[in-house]
Amino acid sequence: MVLSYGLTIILITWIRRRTFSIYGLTTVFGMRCNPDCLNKIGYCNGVSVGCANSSAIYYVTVNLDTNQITNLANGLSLAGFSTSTSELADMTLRHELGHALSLGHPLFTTRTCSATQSIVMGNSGSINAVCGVTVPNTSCDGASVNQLYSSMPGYCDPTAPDSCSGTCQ
Amino acid sequence: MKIRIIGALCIGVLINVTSGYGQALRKDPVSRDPCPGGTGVGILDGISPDSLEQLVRLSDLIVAGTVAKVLPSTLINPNNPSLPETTSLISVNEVVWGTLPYGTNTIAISELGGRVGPCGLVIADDPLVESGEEYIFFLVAEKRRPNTSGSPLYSTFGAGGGKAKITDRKIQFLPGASKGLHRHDNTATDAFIATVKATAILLQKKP
Repeated sequence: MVLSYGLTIILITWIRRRTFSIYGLTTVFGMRCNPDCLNKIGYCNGVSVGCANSSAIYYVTVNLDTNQITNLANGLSLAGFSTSTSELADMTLRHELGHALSLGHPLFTTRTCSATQSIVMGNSGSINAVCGVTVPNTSCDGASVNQLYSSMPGYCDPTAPDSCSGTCQ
Repeated sequence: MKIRIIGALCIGVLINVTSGYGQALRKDPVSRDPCPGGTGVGILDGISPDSLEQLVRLSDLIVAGTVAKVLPSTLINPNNPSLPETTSLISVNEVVWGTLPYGTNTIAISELGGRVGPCGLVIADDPLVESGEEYIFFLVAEKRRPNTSGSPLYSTFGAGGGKAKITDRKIQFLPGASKGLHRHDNTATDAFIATVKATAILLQKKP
Protein backbone atom coordinates (compact mmCIF):
# COMPACT_ATOMS: atom_id res chain seq x y z
CA MET A 1 0.00 0.00 0.00
CA VAL A 2 1.33 3.41 -0.84
CA LEU A 3 -0.05 6.48 0.73
CA SER A 4 0.42 10.13 0.39
CA TYR A 5 -0.98 13.11 2.06
CA GLY A 6 0.81 15.82 0.31
CA LEU A 7 3.96 16.89 -1.37
CA THR A 8 5.35 20.30 -0.86
CA ILE A 9 7.74 21.58 -3.44
CA ILE A 10 9.43 24.88 -3.00
CA LEU A 11 10.95 26.04 -6.21
CA ILE A 12 13.15 28.97 -5.65
CA THR A 13 15.40 30.77 -7.98
CA TRP A 14 18.71 30.07 -6.40
CA ILE A 15 20.95 32.89 -7.37
CA ARG A 16 24.29 32.14 -5.87
CA ARG A 17 26.27 34.85 -7.59
CA ARG A 18 29.08 32.41 -8.08
CA THR A 19 30.77 30.41 -10.76
CA PHE A 20 29.29 27.25 -9.39
CA SER A 21 28.12 24.63 -11.85
CA ILE A 22 25.14 23.28 -9.90
CA TYR A 23 21.73 24.05 -11.38
CA GLY A 24 19.39 21.85 -9.33
CA LEU A 25 19.10 20.51 -5.82
CA THR A 26 16.35 18.34 -4.43
CA THR A 27 16.36 17.82 -0.68
CA VAL A 28 14.30 15.09 0.93
CA PHE A 29 13.41 15.23 4.62
CA GLY A 30 12.34 11.93 6.13
CA MET A 31 9.50 11.55 8.60
CA ARG A 32 12.05 11.51 11.42
CA CYS A 33 12.23 15.25 10.78
CA ASN A 34 8.61 15.42 11.91
CA PRO A 35 8.83 13.75 15.32
CA ASP A 36 5.38 14.96 16.38
CA CYS A 37 3.83 12.62 13.80
CA LEU A 38 6.47 9.89 13.54
CA ASN A 39 4.83 6.47 13.83
CA LYS A 40 1.37 7.98 14.07
CA ILE A 41 -1.49 7.63 11.62
CA GLY A 42 -1.84 10.61 9.34
CA TYR A 43 -5.24 12.06 8.53
CA CYS A 44 -6.30 14.30 5.69
CA ASN A 45 -9.63 16.00 6.23
CA GLY A 46 -10.38 13.38 8.85
CA VAL A 47 -9.61 10.43 6.58
CA SER A 48 -6.65 8.16 7.33
CA VAL A 49 -3.89 8.29 4.75
CA GLY A 50 -1.53 5.84 6.42
CA CYS A 51 1.29 5.39 8.82
CA ALA A 52 3.88 8.13 9.07
CA ASN A 53 6.70 5.71 9.77
CA SER A 54 10.43 6.20 9.40
CA SER A 55 10.46 5.15 5.74
CA ALA A 56 8.03 7.92 4.86
CA ILE A 57 9.02 11.17 3.26
CA TYR A 58 7.95 14.18 5.22
CA TYR A 59 8.98 17.09 3.10
CA VAL A 60 10.72 17.82 -0.18
CA THR A 61 12.29 21.02 -1.41
CA VAL A 62 13.45 21.67 -4.95
CA ASN A 63 15.87 24.48 -5.62
CA LEU A 64 16.79 25.60 -9.11
CA ASP A 65 19.46 28.06 -10.14
CA THR A 66 18.00 29.85 -13.11
CA ASN A 67 21.28 31.58 -13.85
CA GLN A 68 23.01 28.25 -14.31
CA ILE A 69 20.12 26.89 -16.36
CA THR A 70 20.38 29.91 -18.62
CA ASN A 71 24.14 29.43 -18.91
CA LEU A 72 23.64 25.79 -19.77
CA ALA A 73 21.01 26.60 -22.39
CA ASN A 74 23.35 29.14 -23.94
CA GLY A 75 26.14 26.59 -23.95
CA LEU A 76 23.92 23.98 -25.58
CA SER A 77 22.87 26.53 -28.16
CA LEU A 78 26.51 27.24 -29.01
CA ALA A 79 27.02 23.50 -29.37
CA GLY A 80 24.21 23.31 -31.89
CA PHE A 81 21.34 22.12 -29.71
CA SER A 82 18.20 24.24 -29.95
CA THR A 83 17.08 24.04 -26.35
CA SER A 84 15.61 27.21 -24.92
CA THR A 85 16.06 28.24 -21.32
CA SER A 86 12.41 27.54 -20.59
CA GLU A 87 12.60 24.07 -22.15
CA LEU A 88 15.70 23.28 -20.15
CA ALA A 89 14.08 24.62 -16.97
CA ASP A 90 11.09 22.37 -17.67
CA MET A 91 13.31 19.32 -18.13
CA THR A 92 15.30 20.18 -15.04
CA LEU A 93 12.17 20.55 -12.92
CA ARG A 94 10.84 17.20 -14.16
CA HIS A 95 14.20 15.65 -13.37
CA GLU A 96 14.06 17.11 -9.85
CA LEU A 97 10.52 15.78 -9.43
CA GLY A 98 11.99 12.36 -10.12
CA HIS A 99 14.27 12.90 -7.15
CA ALA A 100 11.27 14.11 -5.12
CA LEU A 101 9.69 10.71 -5.85
CA SER A 102 12.83 9.04 -4.46
CA LEU A 103 14.39 8.22 -7.80
CA GLY A 104 18.13 8.64 -7.90
CA HIS A 105 20.81 9.05 -10.49
CA PRO A 106 22.24 6.11 -12.40
CA LEU A 107 25.12 4.51 -10.60
CA PHE A 108 27.98 5.22 -12.93
CA THR A 109 29.76 2.07 -11.97
CA THR A 110 26.85 -0.26 -12.69
CA ARG A 111 24.66 1.75 -15.07
CA THR A 112 21.61 0.98 -13.00
CA CYS A 113 18.42 2.09 -14.69
CA SER A 114 17.46 5.56 -13.58
CA ALA A 115 14.17 7.23 -14.09
CA THR A 116 15.59 10.67 -13.61
CA GLN A 117 18.09 10.08 -16.35
CA SER A 118 15.26 9.14 -18.67
CA ILE A 119 13.24 12.13 -17.55
CA VAL A 120 16.00 14.53 -18.40
CA MET A 121 16.34 12.90 -21.79
CA GLY A 122 12.83 14.09 -22.51
CA ASN A 123 10.94 10.86 -23.08
CA SER A 124 7.22 11.07 -23.64
CA GLY A 125 4.34 9.71 -21.61
CA SER A 126 3.47 10.53 -18.05
CA ILE A 127 2.68 9.20 -14.63
CA ASN A 128 0.06 10.99 -12.60
CA ALA A 129 1.89 11.22 -9.32
CA VAL A 130 0.97 12.63 -5.96
CA CYS A 131 -0.78 15.95 -5.70
CA GLY A 132 -1.64 15.90 -9.34
CA VAL A 133 1.99 16.38 -10.31
CA THR A 134 2.70 14.73 -13.62
CA VAL A 135 6.04 13.17 -14.35
CA PRO A 136 7.14 11.43 -17.54
CA ASN A 137 6.64 7.70 -17.76
CA THR A 138 9.36 5.98 -19.66
CA SER A 139 9.69 2.24 -19.42
CA CYS A 140 12.51 2.79 -16.99
CA ASP A 141 10.64 5.41 -14.98
CA GLY A 142 7.50 3.33 -14.84
CA ALA A 143 9.29 0.28 -13.50
CA SER A 144 11.10 2.30 -10.88
CA VAL A 145 8.07 4.25 -9.75
CA ASN A 146 5.86 1.17 -9.69
CA GLN A 147 8.38 -0.61 -7.56
CA LEU A 148 8.48 2.26 -5.12
CA TYR A 149 4.74 2.93 -5.19
CA SER A 150 2.98 -0.34 -5.74
CA SER A 151 -0.50 1.11 -5.32
CA MET A 152 -2.14 4.45 -5.93
CA PRO A 153 -0.99 7.01 -3.39
CA GLY A 154 -3.60 8.98 -1.55
CA TYR A 155 -4.14 12.61 -2.21
CA CYS A 156 -4.84 15.46 0.13
CA ASP A 157 -6.00 18.79 -1.16
CA PRO A 158 -3.62 21.57 -0.17
CA THR A 159 -6.38 23.40 1.63
CA ALA A 160 -7.62 20.37 3.56
CA PRO A 161 -6.92 20.16 7.29
CA ASP A 162 -4.43 17.51 8.30
CA SER A 163 -3.47 15.87 11.56
CA CYS A 164 -1.92 12.77 13.06
CA SER A 165 -2.81 10.62 16.02
CA GLY A 166 -2.66 7.12 17.43
CA THR A 167 0.32 4.87 16.90
CA CYS A 168 1.55 2.65 14.09
CA GLN A 169 4.82 1.23 12.78
CA MET B 1 4.42 -4.41 2.66
CA LYS B 2 6.22 -1.19 2.15
CA ILE B 3 4.43 1.90 3.19
CA ARG B 4 5.68 5.19 1.98
CA ILE B 5 4.12 8.50 2.62
CA ILE B 6 5.12 11.43 0.57
CA GLY B 7 4.85 14.81 2.09
CA ALA B 8 3.19 15.43 5.38
CA LEU B 9 1.43 18.18 7.17
CA CYS B 10 2.54 20.77 4.69
CA ILE B 11 0.48 20.20 1.61
CA GLY B 12 0.42 21.63 -1.84
CA VAL B 13 2.69 22.80 -4.50
CA LEU B 14 4.32 26.15 -4.26
CA ILE B 15 6.09 27.39 -7.28
CA ASN B 16 7.87 30.48 -6.23
CA VAL B 17 10.24 31.56 -8.92
CA THR B 18 11.90 34.71 -7.79
CA SER B 19 14.33 36.78 -9.74
CA GLY B 20 15.83 38.72 -6.89
CA TYR B 21 18.47 37.56 -4.47
CA GLY B 22 17.02 37.49 -0.99
CA GLN B 23 13.40 37.87 -1.94
CA ALA B 24 11.09 36.65 0.80
CA LEU B 25 9.10 33.46 0.39
CA ARG B 26 5.41 33.69 -0.13
CA LYS B 27 3.37 33.15 3.02
CA ASP B 28 0.30 30.96 2.80
CA PRO B 29 -2.28 29.69 5.23
CA VAL B 30 -0.87 26.21 4.65
CA SER B 31 2.57 25.82 6.15
CA ARG B 32 5.28 25.59 3.55
CA ASP B 33 8.14 26.20 5.88
CA PRO B 34 11.28 25.36 3.88
CA CYS B 35 12.97 24.39 7.12
CA PRO B 36 10.81 21.72 8.71
CA GLY B 37 13.60 20.64 11.04
CA GLY B 38 15.94 17.68 10.97
CA THR B 39 18.47 16.83 8.31
CA GLY B 40 17.54 16.57 4.67
CA VAL B 41 19.38 14.49 2.13
CA GLY B 42 20.18 16.48 -1.01
CA ILE B 43 20.73 15.27 -4.54
CA LEU B 44 22.72 17.67 -6.70
CA ASP B 45 22.33 18.18 -10.41
CA GLY B 46 25.07 20.00 -12.19
CA ILE B 47 27.61 19.94 -14.90
CA SER B 48 29.62 16.81 -14.36
CA PRO B 49 32.87 16.50 -16.30
CA ASP B 50 33.06 13.19 -18.13
CA SER B 51 36.83 13.05 -18.10
CA LEU B 52 39.90 14.29 -16.32
CA GLU B 53 40.65 16.43 -19.36
CA GLN B 54 37.34 18.28 -19.00
CA LEU B 55 37.82 18.69 -15.26
CA VAL B 56 41.32 20.12 -15.68
CA ARG B 57 40.17 22.41 -18.48
CA LEU B 58 37.40 23.86 -16.29
CA SER B 59 39.47 24.32 -13.12
CA ASP B 60 41.09 27.60 -12.11
CA LEU B 61 43.31 26.00 -9.50
CA ILE B 62 44.24 22.40 -8.70
CA VAL B 63 45.88 21.64 -5.37
CA ALA B 64 46.66 18.77 -3.06
CA GLY B 65 45.62 19.86 0.41
CA THR B 66 44.66 18.93 3.94
CA VAL B 67 41.49 20.18 5.58
CA ALA B 68 42.76 22.37 8.42
CA LYS B 69 39.49 23.71 9.80
CA VAL B 70 35.76 23.51 9.06
CA LEU B 71 34.04 26.84 9.78
CA PRO B 72 30.43 27.17 11.01
CA SER B 73 27.81 26.80 8.29
CA THR B 74 25.97 29.82 6.92
CA LEU B 75 22.93 30.34 4.71
CA ILE B 76 23.40 31.17 1.04
CA ASN B 77 20.16 33.10 1.16
CA PRO B 78 18.81 34.20 4.55
CA ASN B 79 15.29 33.59 3.28
CA ASN B 80 16.02 29.98 2.39
CA PRO B 81 16.92 28.19 5.63
CA SER B 82 17.07 24.78 3.96
CA LEU B 83 20.10 25.75 1.89
CA PRO B 84 23.21 26.01 4.08
CA GLU B 85 26.80 26.06 2.90
CA THR B 86 30.00 25.41 4.80
CA THR B 87 33.40 26.99 4.30
CA SER B 88 36.53 25.04 5.16
CA LEU B 89 40.15 26.13 5.33
CA ILE B 90 42.57 24.04 3.32
CA SER B 91 46.28 23.88 3.96
CA VAL B 92 47.86 23.52 0.54
CA ASN B 93 50.48 20.78 0.40
CA GLU B 94 51.18 21.10 -3.33
CA VAL B 95 49.95 23.32 -6.11
CA VAL B 96 49.27 20.89 -8.93
CA TRP B 97 48.19 23.54 -11.39
CA GLY B 98 47.48 27.24 -11.19
CA THR B 99 48.82 29.94 -8.91
CA LEU B 100 48.14 30.70 -5.27
CA PRO B 101 47.88 34.34 -4.27
CA TYR B 102 51.27 35.60 -3.12
CA GLY B 103 52.14 34.94 0.49
CA THR B 104 49.43 32.43 1.31
CA ASN B 105 49.47 28.70 1.75
CA THR B 106 45.87 28.42 2.91
CA ILE B 107 42.73 28.66 0.83
CA ALA B 108 39.04 28.49 1.68
CA ILE B 109 36.49 26.34 -0.12
CA SER B 110 32.73 26.62 0.18
CA GLU B 111 30.50 23.57 -0.21
CA LEU B 112 26.79 22.99 -0.11
CA GLY B 113 25.61 21.37 3.11
CA GLY B 114 25.87 21.82 6.85
CA ARG B 115 23.48 22.94 9.53
CA VAL B 116 22.09 26.34 10.44
CA GLY B 117 19.49 26.37 13.19
CA PRO B 118 17.01 23.51 13.03
CA CYS B 119 17.72 22.50 9.44
CA GLY B 120 20.61 20.46 8.15
CA LEU B 121 21.59 19.39 4.66
CA VAL B 122 23.74 16.45 3.66
CA ILE B 123 24.70 16.01 0.00
CA ALA B 124 24.70 12.26 -0.36
CA ASP B 125 27.16 12.02 -3.23
CA ASP B 126 29.35 14.94 -2.24
CA PRO B 127 29.67 15.13 1.56
CA LEU B 128 31.43 18.00 3.29
CA VAL B 129 35.12 17.69 3.92
CA GLU B 130 36.24 16.97 7.47
CA SER B 131 39.28 18.17 9.39
CA GLY B 132 42.39 16.14 8.69
CA GLU B 133 41.20 14.70 5.39
CA GLU B 134 43.39 14.99 2.32
CA TYR B 135 42.12 15.69 -1.18
CA ILE B 136 43.10 16.77 -4.64
CA PHE B 137 40.84 19.79 -5.15
CA PHE B 138 39.72 20.99 -8.60
CA LEU B 139 38.63 24.54 -7.90
CA VAL B 140 36.95 27.51 -9.43
CA ALA B 141 37.55 30.96 -7.97
CA GLU B 142 34.76 32.65 -6.03
CA LYS B 143 34.98 36.28 -7.02
CA ARG B 144 31.43 37.48 -6.73
CA ARG B 145 30.52 36.60 -3.17
CA PRO B 146 31.41 38.11 0.18
CA ASN B 147 34.41 36.31 1.63
CA THR B 148 34.94 36.59 5.37
CA SER B 149 37.21 33.58 5.71
CA GLY B 150 40.45 35.56 5.49
CA SER B 151 41.74 33.29 2.73
CA PRO B 152 41.17 33.21 -1.03
CA LEU B 153 37.79 31.56 -1.61
CA TYR B 154 37.11 28.79 -4.10
CA SER B 155 34.42 26.23 -4.85
CA THR B 156 34.92 22.66 -5.91
CA PHE B 157 33.74 22.06 -9.44
CA GLY B 158 30.53 20.29 -10.32
CA ALA B 159 28.48 17.69 -8.52
CA GLY B 160 30.94 15.39 -6.83
CA GLY B 161 33.76 15.57 -9.33
CA GLY B 162 35.63 18.53 -7.89
CA LYS B 163 37.48 16.73 -5.18
CA ALA B 164 39.25 13.40 -5.10
CA LYS B 165 39.93 11.95 -1.67
CA ILE B 166 43.38 10.66 -0.80
CA THR B 167 43.35 7.53 1.32
CA ASP B 168 46.51 5.53 1.89
CA ARG B 169 48.20 7.57 -0.84
CA LYS B 170 45.59 6.53 -3.37
CA ILE B 171 42.92 8.51 -5.20
CA GLN B 172 39.20 7.99 -4.73
CA PHE B 173 36.66 10.19 -6.50
CA LEU B 174 33.33 10.72 -4.75
CA PRO B 175 30.18 8.77 -5.70
CA GLY B 176 28.75 11.70 -7.65
CA ALA B 177 31.72 11.83 -10.04
CA SER B 178 31.40 10.53 -13.57
CA LYS B 179 32.53 7.13 -14.78
CA GLY B 180 35.38 8.79 -16.63
CA LEU B 181 36.73 10.22 -13.38
CA HIS B 182 36.18 7.01 -11.43
CA ARG B 183 38.60 5.38 -13.87
CA HIS B 184 41.33 7.04 -11.83
CA ASP B 185 40.22 5.52 -8.52
CA ASN B 186 42.96 3.63 -6.68
CA THR B 187 45.68 5.38 -8.65
CA ALA B 188 48.70 6.27 -6.53
CA THR B 189 48.53 9.95 -5.59
CA ASP B 190 51.91 10.84 -7.07
CA ALA B 191 51.01 9.15 -10.36
CA PHE B 192 47.64 10.90 -10.46
CA ILE B 193 49.20 14.29 -9.83
CA ALA B 194 51.66 13.63 -12.64
CA THR B 195 48.76 12.73 -14.93
CA VAL B 196 46.92 15.94 -14.03
CA LYS B 197 50.02 18.03 -14.73
CA ALA B 198 50.59 16.27 -18.03
CA THR B 199 46.95 16.79 -18.96
CA ALA B 200 47.17 20.50 -18.21
CA ILE B 201 50.30 20.79 -20.34
CA LEU B 202 48.61 18.90 -23.17
CA LEU B 203 45.72 21.32 -22.95
CA GLN B 204 48.25 24.15 -22.95
CA LYS B 205 46.57 25.46 -19.88
CA LYS B 206 48.24 28.58 -18.54
CA PRO B 207 48.95 28.59 -14.80
